[in-house]
Amino acid sequence: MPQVPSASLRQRLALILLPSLVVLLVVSGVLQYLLGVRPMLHEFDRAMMDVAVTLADRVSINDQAEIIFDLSDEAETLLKADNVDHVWYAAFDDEMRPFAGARELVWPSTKVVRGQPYVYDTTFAGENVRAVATKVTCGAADCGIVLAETTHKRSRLIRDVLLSALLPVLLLGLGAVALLWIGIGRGLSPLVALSREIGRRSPRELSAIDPASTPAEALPLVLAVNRLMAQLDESASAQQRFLATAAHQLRTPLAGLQSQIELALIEAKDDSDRQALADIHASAIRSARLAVQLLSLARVEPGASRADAVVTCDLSKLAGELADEWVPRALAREADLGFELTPASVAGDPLLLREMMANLLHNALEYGGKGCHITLRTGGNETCVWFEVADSGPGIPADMRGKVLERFVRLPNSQGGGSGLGLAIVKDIAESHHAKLELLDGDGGVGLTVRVSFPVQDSPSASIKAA
Amino acid sequence: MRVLLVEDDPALANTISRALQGQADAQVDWTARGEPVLNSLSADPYDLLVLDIGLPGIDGFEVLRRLRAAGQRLPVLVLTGREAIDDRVHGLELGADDYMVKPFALPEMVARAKALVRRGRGMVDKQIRVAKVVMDMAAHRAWVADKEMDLPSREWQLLEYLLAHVGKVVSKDHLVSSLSGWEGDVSENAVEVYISRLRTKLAESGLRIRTVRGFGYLLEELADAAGT
Repeated sequence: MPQVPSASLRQRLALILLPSLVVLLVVSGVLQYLLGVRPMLHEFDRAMMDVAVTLADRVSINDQAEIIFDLSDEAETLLKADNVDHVWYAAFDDEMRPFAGARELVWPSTKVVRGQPYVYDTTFAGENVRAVATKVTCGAADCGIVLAETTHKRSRLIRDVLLSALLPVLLLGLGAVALLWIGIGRGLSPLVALSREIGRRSPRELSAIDPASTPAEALPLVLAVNRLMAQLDESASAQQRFLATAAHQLRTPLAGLQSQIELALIEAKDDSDRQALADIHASAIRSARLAVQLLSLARVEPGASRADAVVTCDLSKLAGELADEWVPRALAREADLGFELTPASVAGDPLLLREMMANLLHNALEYGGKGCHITLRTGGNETCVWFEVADSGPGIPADMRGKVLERFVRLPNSQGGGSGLGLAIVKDIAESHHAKLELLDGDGGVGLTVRVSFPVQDSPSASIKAA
Repeated sequence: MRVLLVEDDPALANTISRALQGQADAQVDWTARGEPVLNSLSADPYDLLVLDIGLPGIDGFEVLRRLRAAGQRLPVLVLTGREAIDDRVHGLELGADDYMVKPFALPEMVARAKALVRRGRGMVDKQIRVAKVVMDMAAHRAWVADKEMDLPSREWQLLEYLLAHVGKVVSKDHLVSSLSGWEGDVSENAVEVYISRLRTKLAESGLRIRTVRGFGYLLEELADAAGT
């Protein structure tokens, strides 16, 4: 099933946080510019205006009524003594033609009013410059002074101020995002643990989750899950009770029917009666067995809660206990039932474990055919203990093996009168014991081996929680 | 033989009674509850008690406990539903001599009942008779089809044990431990040797010792010799 989450918490937080951070940066930058940078730029402009006014004082009209500009070399050196920016100036005559200083400078096209120096941005010698134009009286007309300065100082100021103001904001913002990112992971880790805990459970484990290990924030979730679990458990129990009662009620009359037919068989006078009775007998046995199997199913269903029935038992001993019941049945079907038993200790419900073995033996006898060799083995190593029933019958094709584990599925053309419940019961019991059920080739590639292996647990009490 | 049957399902009780009457010449008394059993047993000499575990009132386990506590030694065949077989039944700890899981095959039930009665009588009159085999415990002599058998001590013990468990699978482990004792331990190989000798000696007996591969043995009555 593809998992399409509806945008993660992180994505949502990022969607909220990152635009906010951008807005914060912009607002903070604008404020910094308005409150910090602009007044200082004004100061630079004022200083330039002062210089321009001072330069304007140097424009005069000499005795020959010529407009002259008189600036000493020392003053000029002083004026240009700036190791960051270039400074140029030019003096303009009454027709606004430059006649002194940097003559490449041009008079601004805007109308400049006398007594009000005009500050503007332009370019000069390939650089952006800040310039001041001011008018000064020379005789009847107005002359002009233009002072220009490259903007390095200004740019540097803007950069420094903005950086010093915005960098902390940016770092703080990114830090907050990072912390939240990690924090979400950390904060959600109990939820991850919780989902792992729920995911690890088999459908039969409907016991409540321990709220003690849950953080307060996730407590409502855990309590809700626990309520759901309790309801599920209750309805499973009700279903299980119904199944158990129904199967039990069915079984008693069926057992009666079976023995009455057997009695009639014993007392039957002629062969045709006996044949008819034998057929009825076979059906009665099948029905009785079905009732027994339904009862077993009910026992493994969730809600049957037989956790108290779990004890440490030896599979080889359980297998041995089946000999008395199953060897005569095998002999009656001319099958050879043998045992290869090595002690194998496992924590489980002995009743259910025996039921599993009995179902597998029943299947081997039912489908193995006459002369079939059947072996019940138990054993174990460091990682698992197991039992298996190997038969030399027709086997099950590899591609059909998954199918036969489903309830009420029987192989097409299969012999015998099974209900199709046997392997499903074995599978259910195996699951409730966290055991693995495998259908393998039989001994020497002939027939079928059904193996149930139980993982070896460190502590026997941990192996099964609520079967 | 007289049998007391305790079974709360009338239909099943009826069938069991008829089968025991017809197949084992038994005289069967039936009760549906466990409470009167103790009194009945002390009032009349029964050869066998067939006891259902799931009873109204006191259950079969409790009947059995009271019975054995009162010193009643008669053989008891327990009938039980599958869900009631637990280790109490398996270990036959409460003093049942055999048990059968419902639904059971009627002929098998009759065979087991007969075997139990035979065992019980053997204990009383010190004679075991199965098929054509007779073991006289008091005289320590045994016959097959009226010919006396030569049975060394270990083979005697083994045959006695097998005859007490006709139709039941006995594990080799169990044989080894029950044959081992004061006269020294017995190995599995030795048990195999004794079994093979017994097979030869039982050739005419109407009995056969089957090997249960990897587990033990099963002494069975051959069909033409059954019903004695």
